Amino acid sequence: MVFYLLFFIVVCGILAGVTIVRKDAWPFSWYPMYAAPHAPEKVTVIRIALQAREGSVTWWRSRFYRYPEYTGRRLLQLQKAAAKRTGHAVFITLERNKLLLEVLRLIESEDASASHYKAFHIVERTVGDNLVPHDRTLEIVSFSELRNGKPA
Amino acid sequence: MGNLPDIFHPASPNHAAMFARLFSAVLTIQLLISFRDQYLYFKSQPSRIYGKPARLLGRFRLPVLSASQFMDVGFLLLLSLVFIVIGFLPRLFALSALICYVFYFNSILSLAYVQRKTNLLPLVLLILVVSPSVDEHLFAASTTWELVLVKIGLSQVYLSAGIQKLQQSGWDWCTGRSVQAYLLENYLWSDRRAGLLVAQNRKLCAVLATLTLAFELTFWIIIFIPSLTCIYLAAVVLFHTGTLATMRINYGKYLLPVYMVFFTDLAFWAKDKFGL
Repeated sequence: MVFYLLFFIVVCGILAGVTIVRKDAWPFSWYPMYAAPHAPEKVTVIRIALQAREGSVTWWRSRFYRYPEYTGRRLLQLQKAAAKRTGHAVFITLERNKLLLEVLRLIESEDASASHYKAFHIVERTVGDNLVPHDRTLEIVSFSELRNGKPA
Repeated sequence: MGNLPDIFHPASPNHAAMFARLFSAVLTIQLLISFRDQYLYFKSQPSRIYGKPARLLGRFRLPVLSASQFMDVGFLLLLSLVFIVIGFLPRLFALSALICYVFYFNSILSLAYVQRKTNLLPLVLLILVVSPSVDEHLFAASTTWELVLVKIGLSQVYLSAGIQKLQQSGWDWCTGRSVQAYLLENYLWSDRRAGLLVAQNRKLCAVLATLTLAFELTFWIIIFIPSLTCIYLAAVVLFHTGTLATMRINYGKYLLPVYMVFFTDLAFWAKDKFGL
């Protein structure tokens, strides 16, 4: 019985520990999701849209929806970094292109009709006072430029 | 309030063994439902986007699996769970399932409905490995510390989430501003109208934020006051259904097997009534 009591106490101790120390040690977690303060006027996301050869533009949607979110967050980070560090523009562009090439790979692996598209639209989305989405295209990056490694 | 030391003294029937079977059965179904999806995700090479997956216990980097190894580990995980369900060497196969879990889920940890959402599964499997009651007959006398520990694990998920909200946002979290912002952000990602409809009503956001915090901070009470279990289970259903509909957060999928800890009495009743 002593062994089981010790096991019980150790597990409780680990669960309490990660909560107090506020650190993940997979599979133990402190579950910090959505805990940080946030404000509607600060909501900004970057989404990737796809321009078809005939000109129409649609959102990139993946079977695994976190891919567009994660790449959007990375693009937002890169955008902020570019605004702060003017001397690092080349590296930031390289990093962005690397990310977009991965997106292209995902699209081609998921969507048999990927050849219908010709460019990425990097779109900033915010909400106005009336909670209506406001979209602004920041950049258009053609697939051929990405594949050829030319600067966008 | 329950007498805690009693949980280490054997009593009939064997709730730990019944829980092991219910947990494994529900987890098997969840794995079967998602196996193809998870294999496709594995094949999409998520580490090229997200980087290397988390280290085990924050220390040990696990080997990268090939596609066939991923399939093999997944199949072995399923097989181990099936053996637990039919009561064939359940502790041994709980150990097998635990090892398979680590390799299988580490490879797809970045998948939206995996991430932290399967974290309780290895803890439960570890408890089943350690518990001597799991190998006993369903009507043998057994201890109940296993079930209490599972409930503590569940409570930590909610309690920690609530504590982090208080630590990072304070009681301002109850104003609903943060909830409104997160719902709007999710709407911008997904174009799901359910989230936007809630976000448009600030008072509703405040009520939901307050109820969420109250639920998360007090869930643990059911360990000491089991009579409140039904009320909290109803709250669990509402909470997880709501977050799934508005924010695409699917905690229910892999918490459902763990929630079987509250249904062992019902399972014994059904076994008795229908002779299962």
